[in-house]
Amino acid sequence: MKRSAIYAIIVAIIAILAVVAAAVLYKPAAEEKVIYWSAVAPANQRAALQTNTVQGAVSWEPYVSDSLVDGTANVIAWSNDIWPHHPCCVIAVKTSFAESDAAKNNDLVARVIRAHIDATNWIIETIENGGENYTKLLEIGAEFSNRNTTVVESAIEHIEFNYEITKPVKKWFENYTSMFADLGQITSLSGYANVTAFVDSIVNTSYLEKAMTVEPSDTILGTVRLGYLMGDLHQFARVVAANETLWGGKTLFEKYGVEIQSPLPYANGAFLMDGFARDEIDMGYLGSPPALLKRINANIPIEIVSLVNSGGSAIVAKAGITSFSELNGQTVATPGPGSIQHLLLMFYANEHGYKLKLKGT
Amino acid sequence: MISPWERLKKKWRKISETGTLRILWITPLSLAGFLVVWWLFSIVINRAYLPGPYEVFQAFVDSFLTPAPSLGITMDDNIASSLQRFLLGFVLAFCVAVPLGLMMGFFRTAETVAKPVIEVFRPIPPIAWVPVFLLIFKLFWGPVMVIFIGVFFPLLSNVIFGVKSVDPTLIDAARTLGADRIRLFTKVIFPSTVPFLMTGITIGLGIGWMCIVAAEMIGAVGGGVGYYIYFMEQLGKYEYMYAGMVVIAILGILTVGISRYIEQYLSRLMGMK
Repeated sequence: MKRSAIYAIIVAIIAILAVVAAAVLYKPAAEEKVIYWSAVAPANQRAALQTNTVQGAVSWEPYVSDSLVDGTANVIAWSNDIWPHHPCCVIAVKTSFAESDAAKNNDLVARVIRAHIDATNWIIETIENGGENYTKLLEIGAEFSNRNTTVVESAIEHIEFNYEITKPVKKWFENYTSMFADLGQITSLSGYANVTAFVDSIVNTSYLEKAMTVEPSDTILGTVRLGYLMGDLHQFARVVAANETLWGGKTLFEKYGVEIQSPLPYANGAFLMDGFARDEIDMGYLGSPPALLKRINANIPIEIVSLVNSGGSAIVAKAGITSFSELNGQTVATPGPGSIQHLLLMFYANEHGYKLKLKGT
Repeated sequence: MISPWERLKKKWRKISETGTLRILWITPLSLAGFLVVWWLFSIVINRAYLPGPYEVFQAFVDSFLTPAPSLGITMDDNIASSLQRFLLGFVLAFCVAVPLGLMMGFFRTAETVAKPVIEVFRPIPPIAWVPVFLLIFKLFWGPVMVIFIGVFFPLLSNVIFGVKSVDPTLIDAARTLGADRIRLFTKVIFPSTVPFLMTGITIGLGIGWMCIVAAEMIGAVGGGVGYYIYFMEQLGKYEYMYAGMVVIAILGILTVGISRYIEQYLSRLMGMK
């Protein structure tokens, strides 16, 4: 081999190394009043806080309580304190499912929602009354989320379980849609006159009304493929409704005549929406933002038919940081810009005079 | 003296004989055919997740002109971030795999010691390391190390194979001429390994780009094309997601192409082709 060729290779390698090293070592001066964000899946946020990979985090339950219970982090603000009663998870149904075999599927959707309503009411009463059922509730939550009952107890303390889609709830959906539009995550309202028209088209409360009139059934009337998120305690009502021990040997869904088939849980709402697109599921429990975003951006035809919970998210900071101002120039983990939690952090940062910027920009 | 016309004819004949001409007209036809099939599919399927080539082209152009929502950066910034971590991962893999491969190929004891460990780690796909690398190496170095894993093993295998493929006659000849171990290594073994090393680099570069989306899913320090693809999928802006995929394809073709060119040049230089 020619010596000059070897020299050329060595020089090229050194040059590449120098460019890379310069790029790594060059760090622009930190700006004033900036909070940096980085996308870290909620399941990894506690470990990211423990290793000082990030100094703050924002997510839903049980991931918030994961960090709180063992002292990894402390709460800077609960989402309900920032946005009182803001809706979070919802039940969505694939429009084509609800409309095909119209009378039957329409009825099935209402029956699933009825089971959800009964489970939600049972959870609310159980939390209020305590006792044996409360212990049972915590145990069911622990088994589903693969946590201990202390984490579950901490988690449900800040979740508001409900199902009604009221006017304020719809207003919140409009707010989320507007925020996503302002951020450029929604570029076109795809033929809707405004966000109100869009939200009116995606929210369908008729099933909630119908659900109140359905009666239990001794026979199974049909099957619904129901998607849900991995370990998400916001969606506790589904877990309770699917529990057989609470309802005399059959699930609440079965009590109302519906056989539920669920694929493996989805990692997040955006992936669950893909499940709708693949025709893997007929109904699903997911966060309202992915339902809104993918309905409008990807035209995945679904309708929001019930609320699941309000609140239940929080901005936390690693132990030792007690105020938001101490996060100045630090990195906060978010589930990603298409989530309520990211919007919440952005709103809170702006309220406190901080700019939210992507880490490394 | 050959006239310019004769020279041109000779060149044309050479192009025809080597099959370059075939490549020159078949390649655009193949690409055009692919675009037509894609376009037809997008019309027939008519879903947001399969936009047509024109929508993707528009998104591709727009991604360079308009900052991505919430990320606040354009595609060139994403490319810069990805290239930075890609190069770092690659250089790290190169710095570890080449000396280790040379040693494992040359010294039997080194191979005996290192092989069991390497064979345990080799089948583990780079994506499996993603969550744990975030915690061990944090947000910046975590994705870099995923690339490292992707590039490291093909590079290592090729270097070891290169050392073992050295013609024994060359080694004997060098020894007969009085070369000591160091000279044998530097004058015979290492130069003979270079073409194999380049093959390893070419394969490693390809795998490295395959790892970029997984690598960048764990952290988006300064963005990155992989994160851009993931984020756009999450938003349901599929035409932008495909635009990101096109960018990765172009980057992959460019880097692998350059590497292949160097590989062929060195092979010719070494008299292997």
